[in-house]
Amino acid sequence: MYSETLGILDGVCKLVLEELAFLFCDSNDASSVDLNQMKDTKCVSMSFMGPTNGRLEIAAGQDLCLILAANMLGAEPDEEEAANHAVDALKEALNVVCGRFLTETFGEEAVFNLSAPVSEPAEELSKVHETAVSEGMLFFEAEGHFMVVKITICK
Amino acid sequence: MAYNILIVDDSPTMRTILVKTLGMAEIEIGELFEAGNGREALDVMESEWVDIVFADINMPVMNGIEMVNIMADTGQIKTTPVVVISTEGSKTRLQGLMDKGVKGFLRKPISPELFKSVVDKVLSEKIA
Repeated sequence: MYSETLGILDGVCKLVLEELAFLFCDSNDASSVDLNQMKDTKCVSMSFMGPTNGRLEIAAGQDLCLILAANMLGAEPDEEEAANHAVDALKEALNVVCGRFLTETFGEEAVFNLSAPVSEPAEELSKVHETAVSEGMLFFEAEGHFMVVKITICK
Repeated sequence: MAYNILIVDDSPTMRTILVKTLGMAEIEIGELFEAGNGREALDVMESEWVDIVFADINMPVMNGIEMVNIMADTGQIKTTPVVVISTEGSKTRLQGLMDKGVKGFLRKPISPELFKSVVDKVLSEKIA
């Protein structure tokens, strides 16, 4: 994966989470997260088709999903409303990240078709997809919780 | 004046945020309708009077572009203004939607101030 692409994605993730949910993320290294220990983790993915085809995934623990939903909705993390929207909030964050990333990377003239974000098992994150040409992962920490973002460029 | 508003987005979270943003923007709501995709939105518009539609693009079953195309073909888009609220950043696609009759565009995440300014503009054009 080109470092320039990952650099753009890193910046977009931080900006979107700040604008969407007032979450300030710090980049982390891969050693800070053990993907095999991700038990209470929510993972969402979506694909994009256009000048380049690919797939974007985000994984975060339930606690961070609750904070994300609460901040987006103007609620508290322990409120029922936040619990009801926890996974959907992660999907919406992915949706916004994907849209911004594609525009930042390929420009405003490029047209992409995006799939709707879906939930997937956290184990999917560590799999290499059949059509993958290259892939890269970013690791973040926000309010003491981890988040993993994975991009796969496909044939 | 209160307006009947239809919010079309497959994300319940986004629909909830938009309802709250309408309140923060002090837009007077008559009746509020919600739909999870373009097909559901067209069904609502068949049976209810709607003053303005806020629609996402990327949705399952029927996306926002397909919904706008049908509204343009039937002429409904001339009487029921549509504002697209999306992550879409392609000028090419947005111009295509404007050419079909879409009245405004807001890129997610949206601020209440920008939301209000676009809604005020679209509704004032409708009244005029």
